[in-house]
Amino acid sequence: MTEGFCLCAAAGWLDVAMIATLCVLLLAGFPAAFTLAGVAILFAVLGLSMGVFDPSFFKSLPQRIFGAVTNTTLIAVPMFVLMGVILERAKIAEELLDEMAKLFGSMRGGLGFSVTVVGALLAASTGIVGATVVTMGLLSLPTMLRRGYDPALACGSIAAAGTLGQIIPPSIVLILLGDVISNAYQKAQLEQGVFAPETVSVGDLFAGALIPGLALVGLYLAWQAFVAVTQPEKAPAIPAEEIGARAQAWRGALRTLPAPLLLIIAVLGSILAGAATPTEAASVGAVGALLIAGTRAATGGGIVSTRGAVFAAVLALALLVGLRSGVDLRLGRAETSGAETAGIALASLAVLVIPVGIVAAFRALNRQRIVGDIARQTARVTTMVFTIFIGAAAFSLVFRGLGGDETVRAALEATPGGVFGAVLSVMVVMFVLGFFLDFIEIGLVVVPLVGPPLLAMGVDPVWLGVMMAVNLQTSFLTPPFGFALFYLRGVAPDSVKTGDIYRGALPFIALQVAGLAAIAAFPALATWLPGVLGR
Amino acid sequence: MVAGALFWLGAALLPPLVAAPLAALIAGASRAAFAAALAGLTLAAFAAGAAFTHFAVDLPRLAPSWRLAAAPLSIAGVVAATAFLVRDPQADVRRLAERLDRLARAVGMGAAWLVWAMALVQFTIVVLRYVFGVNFIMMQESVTYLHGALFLMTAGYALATGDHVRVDLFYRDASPRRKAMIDLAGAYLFLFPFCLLVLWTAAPYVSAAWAAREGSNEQSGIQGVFLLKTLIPLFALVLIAAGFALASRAVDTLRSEKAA
Repeated sequence: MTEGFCLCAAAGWLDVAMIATLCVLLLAGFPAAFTLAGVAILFAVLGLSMGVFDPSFFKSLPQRIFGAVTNTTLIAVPMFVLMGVILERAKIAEELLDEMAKLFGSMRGGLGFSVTVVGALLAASTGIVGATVVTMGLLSLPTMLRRGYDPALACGSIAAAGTLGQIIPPSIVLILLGDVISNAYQKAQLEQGVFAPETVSVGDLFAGALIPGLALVGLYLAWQAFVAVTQPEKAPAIPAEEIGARAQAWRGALRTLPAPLLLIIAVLGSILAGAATPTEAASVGAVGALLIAGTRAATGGGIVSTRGAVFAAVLALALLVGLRSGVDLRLGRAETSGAETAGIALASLAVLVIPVGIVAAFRALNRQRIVGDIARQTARVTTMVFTIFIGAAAFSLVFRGLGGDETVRAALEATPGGVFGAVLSVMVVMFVLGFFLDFIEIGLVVVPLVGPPLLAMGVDPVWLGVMMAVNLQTSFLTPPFGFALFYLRGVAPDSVKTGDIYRGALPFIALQVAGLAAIAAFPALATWLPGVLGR
Repeated sequence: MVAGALFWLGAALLPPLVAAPLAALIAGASRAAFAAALAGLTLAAFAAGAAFTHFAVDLPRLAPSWRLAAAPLSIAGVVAATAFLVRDPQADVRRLAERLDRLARAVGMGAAWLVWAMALVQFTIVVLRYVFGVNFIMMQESVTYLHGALFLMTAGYALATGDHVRVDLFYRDASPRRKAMIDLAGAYLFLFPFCLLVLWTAAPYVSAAWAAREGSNEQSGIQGVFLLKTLIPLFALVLIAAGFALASRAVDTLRSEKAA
């Protein structure tokens, strides 16, 4: 009898014990996806043996995995990863950084500017904090040091720019966060008895993150300009004779910059305007990146026909967009006017040109032997994300089964300070978790738990998502545990002291905190744009 | 019938297979000790499975006659196979691990190409819909199939290449021996139980899909949902193959450190 009582008392704490166990075991360092799943199984068995758990959990495990296959939002993830990997492997990011450096390099602080801008533009699609910071660190840190930059300023700029890319749309973590928050929002409303719930989409979150993200870019640039003006020795200009003629720098920049910029604007714009789902836009982004990479790869080879074919495909795409906006091209209508028939014929011709360009681009990449590399790297990142998705799904299923939902809700409702206190405490917890866990894990494990109760308190879902994203980004920058700093340490030369890296991050952390405070004080920074665009 | 036979085969073969690296660690070079360790671990796995079904009543059970026969039969099989096939337990486990590692990598590297197909098909859908206003459900569904095959079939490959993210705050600076211990413990406490549980629970799920030849909800969709669902147990099997290699590498590290 006593024993039974003890077991029951222990059973009430199983959910809390589960979280604690997860934290400890994750720190051991086995891949997080399987640690999540293993802890879930362990506590499911414990819960069953104490008779406080519904065994149907095990039945739903394959359904959860199948759910990851059929989730329509997340299908965008592999194609966004593909787009990012193409831009990286075809050395377009590198080229951009190079040309921007030439363009801005003659200014004091110019190298820092180009790192910030390129980081914000291109880091979006890699998904893991480490990868971006490593790439940026390898590409630009040696150059900046050679030019006599202050190591602290150089490191701070790179770490900040590398993490910033994660919260500027279109980014993978925002897609994951969007999926999770939209589920949490539905759940919160259903529980309040709203049976025709409002929805929030990935596009809403993209729109919400755009202004805060760009504002942070602006703050970074302002800080770098401030340093360049007040302490010129920390951010020296590249001597003019090393850069070459100004006109040449402009020509180089005009050759490299517009294509990727247009691509990202087109992808993002079509999502924000509601013209395309993230999945559709992602596929256009991937094919666009392929075409851009094809033209670049072909320049070296000197094969005019390859470039010609790719450019023809790009022109055909532009023609399609133009035709579509002027003429009704839909097939299968009862009546089609003569002009429309001609338009359809023209469009069909244009459509036939595109595959030629795609094949030419593939051949160009194949000459560099990177077609398979790109596919494999994309696949490894994709499966990593989705395996964590499966592990996190198993974990939250068991955690809920053990009554963890109620525990979290009760804890949040008991937090002093009402909604503000609850949000603040969640932000603090996420900030600390950010020292250990990557964005993906936090997004998939923590947000589904704290999301519904917070949203039920009336918090705006888009605002909450943006706050979480900026908060986590700050966490990744914070010494001594910040992810970005660790990865940068790994690729920085020994001449850079760890203290330099920490010191360099501090001003950017201050900017981040200022940004967070601004979004908290003026939620419209996050909610205005989605409100104007949608609904 | 086929499903039942496959299930029985898996239940009899997978526990001793998965136990092999650990048995090699325990037994060292002796064939007899290896056979004994393998039989013991297999028995323990069956006992754990039986205790598990006691709690999780919804799980499919082996038919009573098979359940009685499976444990002793497969243990007898383990001992016999060890006697016939295994000359040097450690070297043989390592060789098997290398093969399984190659298998997981080959499957993953092949499936990785699907991402190109996925992007091109989705792009075609966009062009057709956006320009001509035409839609093919089958095409749209094929993207889901490609997506599922892409990430399910490459999970083992990513384990082999070390691409599943770890919380490496401490792991990063750990000694090789410590890393090996973590990998070995993680494989046996987290990875293998997860994979075996997926196989166990997927058995009724997938066989029901096969029995109904489950297809699309749409009439003009792809009538192959049962095939898509079959990827779930395959996902677990490829992960087991890669996990076997991971565990075997960890065992090698631990043994060489012991010898040194």
